[in-house]
Amino acid sequence: MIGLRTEWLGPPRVRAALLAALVGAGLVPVLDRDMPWLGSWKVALDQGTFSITTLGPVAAGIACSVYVRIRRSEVPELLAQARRPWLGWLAPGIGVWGLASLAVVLICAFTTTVTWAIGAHAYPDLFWVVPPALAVLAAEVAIGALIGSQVQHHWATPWAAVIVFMVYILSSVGVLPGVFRTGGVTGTLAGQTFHAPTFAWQALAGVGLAGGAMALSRWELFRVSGPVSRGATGLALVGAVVAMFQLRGDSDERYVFAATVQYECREGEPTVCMLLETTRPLDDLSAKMRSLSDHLEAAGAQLPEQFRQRVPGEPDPHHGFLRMRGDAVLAATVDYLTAAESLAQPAGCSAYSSDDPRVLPEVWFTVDDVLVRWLLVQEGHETAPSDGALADWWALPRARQWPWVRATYDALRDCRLHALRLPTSAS
Amino acid sequence: MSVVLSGIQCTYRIGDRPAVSIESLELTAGPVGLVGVNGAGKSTLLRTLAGARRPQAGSVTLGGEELYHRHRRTVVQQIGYMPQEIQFPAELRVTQVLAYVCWLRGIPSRTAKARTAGAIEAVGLTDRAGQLTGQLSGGMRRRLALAAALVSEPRLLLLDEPTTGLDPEQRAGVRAIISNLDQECLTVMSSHVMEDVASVTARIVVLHEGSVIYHGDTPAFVEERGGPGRSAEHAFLSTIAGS
Repeated sequence: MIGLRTEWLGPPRVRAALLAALVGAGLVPVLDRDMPWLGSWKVALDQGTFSITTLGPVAAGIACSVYVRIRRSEVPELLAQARRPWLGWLAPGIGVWGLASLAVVLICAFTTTVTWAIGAHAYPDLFWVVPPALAVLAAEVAIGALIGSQVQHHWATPWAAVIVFMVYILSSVGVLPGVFRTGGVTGTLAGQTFHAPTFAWQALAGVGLAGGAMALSRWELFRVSGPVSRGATGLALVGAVVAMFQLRGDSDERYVFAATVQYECREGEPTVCMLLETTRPLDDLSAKMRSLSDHLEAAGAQLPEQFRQRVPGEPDPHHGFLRMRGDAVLAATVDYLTAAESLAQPAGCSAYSSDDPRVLPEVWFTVDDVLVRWLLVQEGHETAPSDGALADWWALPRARQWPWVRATYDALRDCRLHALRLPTSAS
Repeated sequence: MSVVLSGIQCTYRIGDRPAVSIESLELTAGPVGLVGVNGAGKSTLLRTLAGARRPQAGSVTLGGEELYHRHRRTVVQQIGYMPQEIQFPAELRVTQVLAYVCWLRGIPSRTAKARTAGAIEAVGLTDRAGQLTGQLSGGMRRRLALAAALVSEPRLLLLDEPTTGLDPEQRAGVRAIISNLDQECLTVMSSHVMEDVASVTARIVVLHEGSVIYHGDTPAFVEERGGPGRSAEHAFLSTIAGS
């Protein structure tokens, strides 16, 4: 039985302080930047593993300090007579890793629970992304242990933390294979999931690097360890080399589109649906779209029955599609501009996602701008422009603007984009 | 338990004079003193006997089994080693230190408690069992290190300078503990304090510049080389001077 040996981590109050320090360090990147992860359980989970960015270097520093202390104590001399000397050497490092892993799990539990509590749909089956992150953490702890056991001075502790952080940076920017990247997605992960092979390679690399670093930290003990230990470490190292080859450059895609997507809808006229992962602003968005849609209906425009959040790259001409930037998708509320822009797109025409810029006529951009602005003016959130080429049209009574609004909206709904025309005061 | 060293060469850096160079040495059960001036190679030899320092050349056998064999697990289990400057975590209690050592030694938890209690009693720390090691005096810490070496009930006990830095009363206490050890156990005690060695060991090995320059009975050593006063220290110094 390995057990969690905590003899070298100090008394319970010190271990509690270390755990608090690890959690605190891990929360720095998590609580940064307005916490957009509150809008998606998947992003919250990803952000929880992102805590290793800062927590890992702190854990490496602790491991370094522990192994400096062990080396200076002469206790390793006793390991030569131990029944399992290699395990005796690993045990303090496993203790540090266990403590740091607990901190990561607590942070992941915190982010996902908070997100779930405010209404996000939970995907507990995706918790499998945590163990690969903990394997990366093991590698970082082992690097700290290696530095501590070789340098044998306490001033090495901050350097171990800095070195591990630099390894993360170099791994993130592609100079080193992407082994040390954990979490930190900047998108919404709506309609997406985690790419299992990348995480599997990452776990293998983490375990292999951890084993290799620990073997180097006390080679004479590793050399006399049991054949199972040596064989497993050797295999893990070979696996790590293969994994690092797999994770080099841009080949370490961490997120992929999910095979199926699910929506959550707010019934009404129109019905507004968002992907199940990101429904935080749905109530607010649907209320604002409903309010704005009254003006379109007054103009005689026929709205699609349903507006949907777009799955990137997939045209959907049968539904209106929500035009939302990532921060709007994850936010609690949306502004009227987002609601108006979404309402002004009554169909997900293929032209919107075409690689050929000529497919989308240039006039569309101006038409879209006028229609969005018209909606905001009707709702009182904008004032009609009094100058410019369309000033005369803006000055017309509302009822005389309706024909252009109706014709434009019908063309947008039917994806007849080449039928779009700018309004004139004669319309 | 007997230990046989054959053709041992321990060198720290390539090209340096060997820290230990022993052509042949056999040690049998009972207390043995290992003496020499600072830098004579005593600690290196003890570390080699403890399985903690593989010699560059030669072999070490314990009870006929090669110590530095790949499958040495059974052999090393019979060794108890007390390094010179061992420091257990100050925040651990005496019993916790010994429980940790029991875990390292692979002693099953069902017997570890009894072994711990026995070792604590053997070194006279029973009334300090619950005390933090950081609060122990230097002498008490030495006793704890000795208890850690004894807890596995070794057949080869290696004590590196067990009385160094202790006051006369504490030294007497440690000597008494060593004297009371099982005579079937081979106890090798290094020291440069001849009085300690002469009072507790039956045989003596004098190490000088890494080589054995004397190996024999301690009383005869003192008798033959101790001069008119039968002084162990005089015997030692004359041996070193004559080498």
